[in-house]
Amino acid sequence: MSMDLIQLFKAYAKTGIKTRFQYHLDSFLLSLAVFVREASSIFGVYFLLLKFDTLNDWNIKEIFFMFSILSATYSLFIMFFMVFRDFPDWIKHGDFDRILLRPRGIFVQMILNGADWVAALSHGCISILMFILSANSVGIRWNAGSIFYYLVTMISGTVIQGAIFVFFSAFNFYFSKNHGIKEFVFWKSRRFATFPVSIYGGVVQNILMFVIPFAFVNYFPAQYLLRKSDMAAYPEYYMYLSPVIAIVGFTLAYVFWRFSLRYYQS
Amino acid sequence: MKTMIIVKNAVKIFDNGIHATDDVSFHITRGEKVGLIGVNGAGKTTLIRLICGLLRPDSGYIRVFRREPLSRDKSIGMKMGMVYGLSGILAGKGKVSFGFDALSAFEGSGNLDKDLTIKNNFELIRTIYRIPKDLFQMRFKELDDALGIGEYMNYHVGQLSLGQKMRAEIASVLIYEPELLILDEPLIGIDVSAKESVRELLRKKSSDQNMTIILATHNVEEIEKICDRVMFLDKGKLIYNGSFDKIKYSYGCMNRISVEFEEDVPDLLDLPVVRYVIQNHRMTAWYNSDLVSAKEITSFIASRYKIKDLLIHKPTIEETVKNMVGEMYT
Amino acid sequence: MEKYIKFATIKFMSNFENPFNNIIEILETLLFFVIYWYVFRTLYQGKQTVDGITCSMAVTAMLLSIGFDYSYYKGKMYIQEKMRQGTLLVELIKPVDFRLRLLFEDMGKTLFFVVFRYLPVVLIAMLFANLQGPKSSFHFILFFISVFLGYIISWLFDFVCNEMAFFTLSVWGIVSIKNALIDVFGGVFVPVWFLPVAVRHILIFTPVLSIYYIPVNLYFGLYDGVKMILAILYQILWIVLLGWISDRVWKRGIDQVILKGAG
Repeated sequence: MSMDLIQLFKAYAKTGIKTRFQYHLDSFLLSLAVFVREASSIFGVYFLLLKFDTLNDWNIKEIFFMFSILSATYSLFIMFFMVFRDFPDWIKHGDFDRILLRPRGIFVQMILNGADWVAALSHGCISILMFILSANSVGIRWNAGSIFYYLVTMISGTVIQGAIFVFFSAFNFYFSKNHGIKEFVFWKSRRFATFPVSIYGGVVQNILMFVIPFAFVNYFPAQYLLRKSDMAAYPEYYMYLSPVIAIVGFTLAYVFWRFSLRYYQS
Repeated sequence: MKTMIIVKNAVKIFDNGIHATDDVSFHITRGEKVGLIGVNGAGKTTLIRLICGLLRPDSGYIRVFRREPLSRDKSIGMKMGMVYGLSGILAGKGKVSFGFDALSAFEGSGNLDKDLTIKNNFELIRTIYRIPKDLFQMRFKELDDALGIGEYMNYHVGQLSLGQKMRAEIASVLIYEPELLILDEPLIGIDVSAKESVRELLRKKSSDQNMTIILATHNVEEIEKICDRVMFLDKGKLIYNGSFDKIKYSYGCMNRISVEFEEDVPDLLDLPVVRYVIQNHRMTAWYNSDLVSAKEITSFIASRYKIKDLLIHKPTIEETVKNMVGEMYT
Repeated sequence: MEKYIKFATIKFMSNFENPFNNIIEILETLLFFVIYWYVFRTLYQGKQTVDGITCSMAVTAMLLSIGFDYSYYKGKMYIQEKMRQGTLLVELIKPVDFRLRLLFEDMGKTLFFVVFRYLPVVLIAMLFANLQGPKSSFHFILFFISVFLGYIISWLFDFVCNEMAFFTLSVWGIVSIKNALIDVFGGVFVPVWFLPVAVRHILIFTPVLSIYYIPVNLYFGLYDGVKMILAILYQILWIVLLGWISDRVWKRGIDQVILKGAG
């Protein structure tokens, strides 16, 4: 029996699946860990607003509502853009593994899918919960128009996040070593969108609007439905801009990605 | 002569009711080099763990360095070293189902911290075992000459191949020259060319330093080179405890013939073999090649029955001992 | 004794190998702080103090708590890993106290994080945020002593959770929830001062307040005379309590592992 094990071991060690497997397991645990952190940061915001009542005239329910948009679109993003998440890693390890491990490759992908479905599900649950807690107490008139707008928001928000992600995934083609940057930018800048963009200083606001446009994922759409007083600082058409940002952004990101792919292949 | 290890009537039964250790008794004196053989699952690793204090016996008396191993006296830790290959992690794994994890990310026996470089690991060992710097350098050079570990000093343990890891493990244990060295199939994963130098190193070191060694293995050459005594475990029982010469002689002249017949075969009582086993169309027999030639035995069988397939080779060492012991009891 | 210092030193030094990670971590901590800096500036618009706490105090408290929390990285489930690899019990044969070794290695790593990840964030924050200094140099020293005690409590708390690996298949859930509780109720996501009074009363019976909250209060001199001593004693009490619990669990856990041979 031990001879078989040795053969098996050698095969795995040779193809490097050991590192890949551990990486996927780690990223699974990581996404769950982040989820727990997300949930607990909501509690933090809750207690903060319990004491202070409003943040730039936004009350806790309104913030929950805005947050629910963020979570929902993130959840959708995970479901549809998973491929782009793995692909850069597959590029990195792919050459060796793919030939030898075609059946295993699918297996690994299934595992990864499983991991992401859990994350998508948990964010989805959070968003539904936040929505239920807030949707009827923030003064929104849910009619055909607002529902339509909400659905468009869901799509554009998802696409915008997809665009950001694709753009930063392309960086993997240039640097072999770091998944750090991609995750870092995405995760940490998302946190900015937990709060109304109007609280931030000028430079930060501009970044959140035109460089990593999270503001158009949930803040401006929420403004359309809520019409808070801090909207006065921005041109009115911002509330309708999200789909545009989504299309333009994604096109740019995709072009950059293909360009980088060609660069890598040369 | 100081008695290093005493084991009396040790019993260990696992949850599934299997007697991994069944009333085992023996003792080992200072400087003895004992080989521990038996098929996988015979209880070698369990016995080793009992001796090291990693497992609690259900009954029996065990003393190592005059202390109970479970007391885990730190001063004993300074004098003991342990290296185990893959077989060590399979024993007693019980409920854990992380099969992939165990195989593909085998860390070694835990002598090396996998987050550190080999260099840092050895530095830690030097500090723990309080080895003076120049003595350490000298010993290290000797080990480097024999094992070639110097070339990957700056790599993290996690980056190494299995063979490199095992060599580093062995070096990490030899460097503080323990009085008692326990090895559980340590040469697994090391490539064939390196195996010979590792064995030679073990032999030389253990004899120079008068180390006591317990070496669990399937490999005849290792036992021949390093051990002067052998203990054979079968289904938890200690079947044989004595010199290797007798076994070697048996092993040397024993051959195994495996035959597949065209049809069912009744008993072959007059076959000139030491022992045979028949199941359906297959027969396995062991015969003494000094007394019977391959030609004789083959023609003997062929003349009686229709042969489909036939193979003659050397038996494993475990089979040899079993046959020997079986002989002794008939 | 020197060997433990060596463990700490080697872990400390080994962090120099990957400087890029540090930059990422510094940015991460900094961004987190920046968000809350903006949040508090906005919350405090038009107000000087809330419950006796100024904006500057709130911001400083957040920086103190967040910084140390990031430095005490608590993500590794070391006992569980070792059990799965089968290398746990072997550690016990070695002439080294395993638990003490873990503590010292963690101290080495944490010291590195505090100096090379947290300190830069503080320096950068000083450039733009209106931070408040300690009440006096005496209070500052007391603060550091209290931080160290809080660190030990954090480590012990983490260790006890890790020990659950002896009894369950995966400690991941326990560890995550523990960390989340510390985040929410320990002062990392919101200063403890702003938590409802009822909640704070319950929290006194948990070690959560003694990790960041007590040191922060000492920093601002919010305790007078006797209360200062009581605060330190409170921390010491938690160290003793958690230490005792972890020891009992350890003995039981190891016994069980030895009996079953799984580890």
